[in-house]
Amino acid sequence: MRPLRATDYPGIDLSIDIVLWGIVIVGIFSFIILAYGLWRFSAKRNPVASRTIPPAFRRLVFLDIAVLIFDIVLLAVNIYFWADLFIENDDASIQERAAAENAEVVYVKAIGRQFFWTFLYPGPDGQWNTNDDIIRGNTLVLPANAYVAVDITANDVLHSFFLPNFRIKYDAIPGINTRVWFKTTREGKYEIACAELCGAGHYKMRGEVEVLSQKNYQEWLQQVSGNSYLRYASLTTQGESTLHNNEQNSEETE
Amino acid sequence: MSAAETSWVKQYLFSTDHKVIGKQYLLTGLFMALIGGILAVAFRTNLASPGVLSDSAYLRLVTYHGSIMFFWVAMPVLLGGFGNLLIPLMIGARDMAFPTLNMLSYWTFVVSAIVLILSFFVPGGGFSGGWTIYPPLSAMPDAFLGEHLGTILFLLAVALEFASMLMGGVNFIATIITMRTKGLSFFRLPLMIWMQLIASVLFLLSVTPLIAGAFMLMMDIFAGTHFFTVTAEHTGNPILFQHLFWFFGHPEVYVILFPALGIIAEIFPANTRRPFYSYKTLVWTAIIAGVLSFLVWAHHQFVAGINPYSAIWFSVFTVAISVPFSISLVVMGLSLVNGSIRFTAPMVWAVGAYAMFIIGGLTGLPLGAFTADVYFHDTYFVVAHFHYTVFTIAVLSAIAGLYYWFPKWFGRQLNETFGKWHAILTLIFYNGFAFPGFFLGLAGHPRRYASLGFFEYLHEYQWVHVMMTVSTYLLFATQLVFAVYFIYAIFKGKKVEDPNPWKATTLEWLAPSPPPHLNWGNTHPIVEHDPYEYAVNGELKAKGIDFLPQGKLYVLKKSDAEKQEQEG
Ligand SMILES: [Cu+2]
Ligand SMILES: [Cu+2]
Repeated sequence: MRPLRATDYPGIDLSIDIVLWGIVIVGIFSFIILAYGLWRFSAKRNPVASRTIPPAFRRLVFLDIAVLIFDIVLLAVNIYFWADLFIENDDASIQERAAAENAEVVYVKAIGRQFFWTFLYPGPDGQWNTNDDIIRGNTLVLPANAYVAVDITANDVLHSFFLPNFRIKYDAIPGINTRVWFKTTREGKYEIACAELCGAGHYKMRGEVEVLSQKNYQEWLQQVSGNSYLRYASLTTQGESTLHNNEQNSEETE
Repeated sequence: MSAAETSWVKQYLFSTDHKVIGKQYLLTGLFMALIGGILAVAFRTNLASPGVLSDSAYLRLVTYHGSIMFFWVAMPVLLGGFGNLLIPLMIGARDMAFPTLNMLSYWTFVVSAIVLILSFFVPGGGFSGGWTIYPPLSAMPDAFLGEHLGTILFLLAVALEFASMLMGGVNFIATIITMRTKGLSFFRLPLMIWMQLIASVLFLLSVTPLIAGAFMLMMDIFAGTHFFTVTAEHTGNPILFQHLFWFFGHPEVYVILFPALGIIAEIFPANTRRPFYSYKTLVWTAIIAGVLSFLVWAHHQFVAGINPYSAIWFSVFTVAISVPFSISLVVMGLSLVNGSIRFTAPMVWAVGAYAMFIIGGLTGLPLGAFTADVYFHDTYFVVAHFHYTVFTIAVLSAIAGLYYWFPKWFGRQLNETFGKWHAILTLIFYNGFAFPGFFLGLAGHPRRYASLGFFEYLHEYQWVHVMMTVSTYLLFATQLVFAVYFIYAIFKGKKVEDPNPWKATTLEWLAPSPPPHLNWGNTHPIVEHDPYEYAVNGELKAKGIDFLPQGKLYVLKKSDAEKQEQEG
């Protein structure tokens, strides 16, 4: 039912699987017991009620203990992957992960705006605020087998950066920078949806992730580098000031 | 006070009688439910065949549907309606502690409903930013199509509604604490009364931050402040509003949930003919869940820029809430065991509601578990989950209660066969529109989309929307038939002969049906037993009676009776 998974990072899918299987099992079990109870103790089969209940049924309190144990397992798994995704998400941690897998790290900034995304890259030199910085509208081009660190913000209202195929979602909030990372694995085109109500065009706010092979990505990078802020400023009048604001903010937090 | 002295206006319109006010709340809530339902039918049509509505009209209808069903249906029906109609009767009082405040509460509510409806029709149109009112969207007049005035009136309507519910809540608490009849100690209170009490306290404690938030939001719109909005010069914080909203928002769900559980807890013993399995457990789990409900609000904001460390605690507390709730559901289920279950219409509704609460409760876990929630947040999974809780509260439980207490309140009967078919059809159509939402959510379908047409990964699910929409039509049609029948039965239904048709134990069934003004005439009830003395042994059993009413009516001494008359 979930869309094709485009990453080999299993954390979120695993968390989903555990909780869904848990609630399906507990749910089906509860419904069977309920149906049995309603049948067994209907006035027809049991004309006289009694104030006590058979000990066998009292054991149903173990259902609560089962829920408690399930909760603990569930939380442990969730906290483990949460820490991975949202606590150890600084540059150093991501680089460490990438180094272990011999993968590249790509840094991107994503800015939400009614009703499109703007992506900024530091360009081939890997440095922000240089002449080869790249700015792209609505399509996030990435190499395969890379760790991608995205700093998300918005410059009008709330949006939410949702990559169904990578299972990642995070709100884009004016005035605040938030960081998510994900790992690209296979080449292909994937969609970016906006998941936070942002106005009448909310349901049209579609972006794309295009994962290229390492070689094609390098070619693309050379091709598009160096067209950054001037072009961005012409895209939007308000854009530039907010953009600089965001950069200041991110420098302050670093 | 004789009927001749009382003008029609005083008796039916500006009455201070808790029963009249309760019925006013009930009928107003029913009327608002009709509007909320029509809105749902309209925007679901757009989802089945996109383009019927404009983009902003779609969002406007979604916004008003959510707000109406929450604030103008669930709250007035479950608190204003059931609370007013039941509290004095169940605790053996003659009216609420503050009858005039009670009347004021209702009329403030009416004004809030009128302002809300007005806000929809003013130039620029009604507010369209979702019932959660998140800024900056809600604070920016140009975010949609200039609905400035609509937004202001919408916020005003919400504020008035809260004022009304606050007056009611204060009244409920005062009444339950001070006006219980002789012998009715706290742990003899019927569960419905406990649930109303806990709900009122939760509402009182949680509502202030939201009122502050709404005020700050109005300042952002009117006065040029930047509490929640961000510009190049001003850095407000949009997340602050979310904290204020959800600090209220999560307890608010329990404010309507507890009375709904209370209804089920009253209907179960009367129809299983055995005492509630563990009365105190239900009370304590409700109190514990109520306390925990103040510690979980940011679970609505896991991916909305909150500190990732604090997210851990919010997730832990949220998942922990499943423990008291699973205990209370198990306790309710155990109340069926060794019963002799009579499948009356209210019982069928109550069992249906109970079963749906199991789904609603369990599906909260994927959202409370924060890593799974990264994917599920703001998808149809959320929509499905809260319909399994809120629809179960506001429709299934409320209608269960209507069938159960209808003879008491109106002195007339609702048809049993009609009631059972109504329940079965409602359950089928309800699951038909709500359950597919879990699959859409799993497919990553974001909520509040006017159409899924722009996303390739969603294209294959259009037929699911069609199915959900058809179910919505059928569900609405079913309720429409019921609404007509309900109004008809109020005036023309068969009169009840027995004031206690379910052979129930709690005090309200000792009063005549319908109870007269001041409820108890020249008698007054005194409580001598626990609330659910069914399956009794001994003398009564030999006589073929299986229940022992919670109290007895004693004739007042003449002097006391006169005093009562004057007070009334
Ligand atoms: Cu958006
Ligand atoms: Cu909540």
